[in-house]
Amino acid sequence: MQGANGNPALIPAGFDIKWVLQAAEGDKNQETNLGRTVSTDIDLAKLGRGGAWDLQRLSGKFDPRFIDSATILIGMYAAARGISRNDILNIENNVARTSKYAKGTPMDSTYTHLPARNVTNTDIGMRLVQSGAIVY
Amino acid sequence: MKKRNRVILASFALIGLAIALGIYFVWPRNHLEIQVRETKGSPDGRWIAVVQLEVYNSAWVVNDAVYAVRLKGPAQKDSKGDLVMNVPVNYPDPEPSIEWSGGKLVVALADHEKYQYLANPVSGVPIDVQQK
Repeated sequence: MQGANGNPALIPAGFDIKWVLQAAEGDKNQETNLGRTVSTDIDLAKLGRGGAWDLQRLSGKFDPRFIDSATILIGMYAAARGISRNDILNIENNVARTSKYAKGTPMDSTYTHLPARNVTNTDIGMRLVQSGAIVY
Repeated sequence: MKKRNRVILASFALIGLAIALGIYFVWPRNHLEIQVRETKGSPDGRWIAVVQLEVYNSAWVVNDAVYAVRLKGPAQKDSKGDLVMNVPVNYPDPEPSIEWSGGKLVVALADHEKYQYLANPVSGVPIDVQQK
């Protein structure tokens, strides 16, 4: 698996992305059967900084090896959950509204509060699931 | 309950709410993690060049990490150190390395590595960028 800049996007040892995809599918089924539930919000929170699925910080400290895969996983979750590209990127964009970035960071032209790299990595994750490249 | 007590309680509640909102809007959205990787003092003792990993985890899932080269010293204008260069973090590409040579700060990058921001000179210090 490659990240936005073509470098390898690694998954931390001991972490199985199927956990996330199966949870996403569970969230989708729950909503289909019960209507809107909070399980999606709870799982989205796990992808946030320091959450149980924040691949960059599973050790408790930021690890640069996993910066791309952390966002790719968000795209995977969205695809498995049935959230559209526009919706997941709008969610990311809205929470990033007041964000500050490193000087010179290339930003996306549509989701203007997001670095282009975040958008590309979200797309990579969605494609991996939608193409069937990942079986769960 | 007396009116005065109700006013005091309401004031405490409002102050608590304001503090909670302040924490919500300031802390989680613009949190900067810094890991210092290398430091080199200039021969004249005026500056310390630093390479540091800076992670701008601005909001929820948004990640932006760079190796920043900065100059620190009594004359620095930025509290984090005056910014020389930002290089995006791309594992397994190495972080920039730094040396002082002939009054210049020499920053070396891997042969295919690109910076996303460069200032030259910085605080009167000329910068020499080299590809290894």
